Amino acid sequence: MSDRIAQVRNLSRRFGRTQALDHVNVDLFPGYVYGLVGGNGQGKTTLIKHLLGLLKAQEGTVEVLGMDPVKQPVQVLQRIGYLSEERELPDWMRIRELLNYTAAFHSGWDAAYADELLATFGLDEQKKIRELSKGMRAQAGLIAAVAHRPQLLLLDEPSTGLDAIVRRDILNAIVRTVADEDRTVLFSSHLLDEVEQMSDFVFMVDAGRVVLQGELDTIKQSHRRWLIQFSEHRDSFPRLDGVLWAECNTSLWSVICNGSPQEFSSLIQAAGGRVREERAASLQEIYVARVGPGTTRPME
Amino acid sequence: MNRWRPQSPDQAVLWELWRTGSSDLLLRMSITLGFCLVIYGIERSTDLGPESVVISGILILVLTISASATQSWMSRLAFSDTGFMLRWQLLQPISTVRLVGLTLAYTLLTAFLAFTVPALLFSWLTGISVPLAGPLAILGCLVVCLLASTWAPKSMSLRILSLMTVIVILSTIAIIASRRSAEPVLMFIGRPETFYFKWYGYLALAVVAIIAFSITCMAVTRQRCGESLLGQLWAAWPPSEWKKSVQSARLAGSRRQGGFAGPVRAQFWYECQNFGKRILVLCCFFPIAVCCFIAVALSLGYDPGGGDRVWMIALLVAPIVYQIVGIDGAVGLRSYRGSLRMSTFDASRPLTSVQLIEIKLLVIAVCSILGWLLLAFCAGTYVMLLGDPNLWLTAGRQFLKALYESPLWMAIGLPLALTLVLTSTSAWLLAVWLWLPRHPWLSNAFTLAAVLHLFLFVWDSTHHFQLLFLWRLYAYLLPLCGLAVSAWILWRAYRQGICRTRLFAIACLLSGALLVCAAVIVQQVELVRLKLSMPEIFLMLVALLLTPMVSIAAAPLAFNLHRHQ
Amino acid sequence: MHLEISPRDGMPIYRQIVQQVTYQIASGQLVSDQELPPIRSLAEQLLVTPNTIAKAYRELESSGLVYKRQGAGTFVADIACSPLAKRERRRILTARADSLLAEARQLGFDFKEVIELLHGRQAVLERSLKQEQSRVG
Repeated sequence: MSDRIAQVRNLSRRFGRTQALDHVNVDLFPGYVYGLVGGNGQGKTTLIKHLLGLLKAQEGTVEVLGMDPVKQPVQVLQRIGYLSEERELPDWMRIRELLNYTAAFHSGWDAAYADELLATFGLDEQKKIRELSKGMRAQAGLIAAVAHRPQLLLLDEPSTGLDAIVRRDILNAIVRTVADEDRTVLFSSHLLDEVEQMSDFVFMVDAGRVVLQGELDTIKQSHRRWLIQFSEHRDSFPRLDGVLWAECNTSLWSVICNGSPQEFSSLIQAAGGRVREERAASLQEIYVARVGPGTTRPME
Repeated sequence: MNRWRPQSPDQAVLWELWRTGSSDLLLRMSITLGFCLVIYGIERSTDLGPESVVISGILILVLTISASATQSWMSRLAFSDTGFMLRWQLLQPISTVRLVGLTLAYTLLTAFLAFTVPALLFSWLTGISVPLAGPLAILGCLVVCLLASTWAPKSMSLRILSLMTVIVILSTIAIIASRRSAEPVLMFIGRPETFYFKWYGYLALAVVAIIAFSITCMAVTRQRCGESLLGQLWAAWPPSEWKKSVQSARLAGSRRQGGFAGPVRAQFWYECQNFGKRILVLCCFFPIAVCCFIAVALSLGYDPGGGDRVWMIALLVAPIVYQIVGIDGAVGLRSYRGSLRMSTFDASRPLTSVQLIEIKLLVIAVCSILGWLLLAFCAGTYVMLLGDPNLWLTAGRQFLKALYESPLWMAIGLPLALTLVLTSTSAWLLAVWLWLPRHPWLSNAFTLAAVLHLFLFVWDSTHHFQLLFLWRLYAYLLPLCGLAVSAWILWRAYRQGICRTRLFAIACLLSGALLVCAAVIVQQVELVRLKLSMPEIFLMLVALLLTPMVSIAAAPLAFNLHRHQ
Repeated sequence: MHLEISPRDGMPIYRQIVQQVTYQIASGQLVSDQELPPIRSLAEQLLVTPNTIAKAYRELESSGLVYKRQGAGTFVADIACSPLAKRERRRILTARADSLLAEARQLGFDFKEVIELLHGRQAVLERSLKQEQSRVG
């Protein structure tokens, strides 16, 4: 018996020749917002679909709310709210019909909350889904995903391609969901600002592997950005412990480094460099350092 | 072939047409070639003589229909966006006239090929000469008209309507033309003289084709910037109060303010809206089509009692036809980045796959029954007005007599067995429709194998059945394969817990009824009992009797393939 | 209570909230026994997760700047005589003084001139305060 909302162990998945997920381990605990960060096609949607049971684990195990989502789809799907990347909703439905229809599947449907969200978003409940704009479609999908107060809310790229106002509404719904007792949200995004603002924990995926995971504050405190100058010209940055990424810009090296700052600054001094500046790295910088070009991956 | 790359927009359009239509073209060609071979086989085994004119007529009719049924217009009538997509092509840097012209040229070329190749093969095999120039001209005109009728309207309902109109107009013309001679229509078509047109005949066909082509170009030009020919008329003509009342009536019709009593009812409502409506629409068209058919037959001078027989046949085949139409919607696979898949909305419903399949089957059944009742009502009206009630009375009396003579439990068991067979047909179709897209090469392989065997069989039938041992081997092998597949499916269903569901329990119950009926028939009918002493026939019967139950178990399995990939 | 957070800043968001609340208490914008907004509404206002706000409030509580009343909410502590508040206020002023001195040096003023300037401004400030009082009176 675990108190985890979801648990993914050693999950691997192949689509033909591409390795979509490669031995992924994920734990979700109740009451937190989890941000799933990564480029397009790096495995974010695949991971979310495994949690929903829309994909069957080829290797490893997936457990959501203590159940296997493939074997017990009903019990799992009733407690999950899901907004898909393409906002797939039946075109012919009216918004009111969509809400009534979705309500029938969930005993905990909060009609007052749904109506309140409808009013906040200013949606006309008699409009058909096919008449809606991209933003309105996302809003309609979001109401259908959160109004039953799900224990786990899965949002796949909730704010991609939306304007600032709709994005705010969506973030607000995430906050309201997790503010209820012990609700959990997992949202994927490639907007790093949003993840930095909204999440308690971060998973960074690249080419199907989780390259970094942990509490956002801890990650931000352990990754620092240094500006370093060397007395003589160098073609490459010296191989030091903890260096993730280094780039030279007119004799000044920008370095993202993971680990204790004191150790690193003494290492730099030993290598003949001078520290010009040191500050905490933003998630954007950490992301580029972890998966972008110029990454000096630690030797294994 | 993959190394070749289109060098210009023209080539790209042609390449897209070939890519989306090649397998369809090959399928149609192989079917017509097979048809030619069958006729050749018949012709070899029996001496036809004057009947060859009828054969040639049938051939021309079949070839014309199959050659004109190309996917460049058929795909406009499909709800799932597969095949040649006009909307996508409108975004390409190519002028409208060119786009329409190229598509038309390609379609015409393939249609001519699909007509000429089997026709020539047939002539070469049998020595019966098939006219080419005249039928080809008519075929060309037909293809242009079909393309125009499906490409010009923007909305689906208008497309269907205009296609119907074109078909009705063309068949009327054909009927009027055929009235010139007193012969039956197939003989009339088969005569080479029918297609010896004067120059003005060809000119008229060309003028019709050119008009259709220009209408298509005009309409497609408007579609490119989001307008439609009819939309402009609609904007100009009816007063705005009309439109308002129409819209408010529509709103009131489909408004559903109340909630649902439970998930199953909600899903039932959803499936009814999603594809049930479509079956009902077809159910309305089917009686009309039957009426048209009878009208044509009567105008061609067939005997009046034929109308009743057509209605009887229609009443018998309608359930199957409705099911086949319903299945495409029930499967709900949509094309997405070039492959068919289930939408995540459908896949993430909090219901078990068995429940979802149950609801789908129920919707198909309800809509088919409603449609069948409508058809029966139409048939009744026809009989009252024009038909021959005696014929129906006799048929009814015979049926009642058969029912009266059979034991009571047979009278109960037979309808149950029929229900099972009908439901399982839906289930089987569902399973196959769901399963095939996961293994696209299989359908091609099956078609190829079937065509090859047809060739072999025709050859064999003209060579005193030297390969009889092979056919007997198949008679053993196929049922055995069927049994093996059934066992495998049942085992999988057992592993996934499908065997413990209500759906499967009902299937088992109905299968029991089917088995009992089969046993009674075997007991009572001498001929069947004699045949059953042959082991291969017995095997075949067992495999066939198992099929309904297995197909009901297979549908949720196939559904799971898509739901939990 | 108005807070500005910037997610791009390397500093974790809960630290930003702690700093800004501390500043507002020290500068008198938040007075003692004033209620801080509930976690949930502040989270919705700033669009950050409630856990972040809770973490910030916990940190403020452990440093004695706010206190929790069971079932009622979070309130600003009485800090008039608290050495911590005094220290915090001194810290803020020190930072301002540092930046003033640094800027003065860059602009070419020496220390004496800065002192003179401060005296002048002090006189202006006192005069305007007096005028204000007479108008109110």
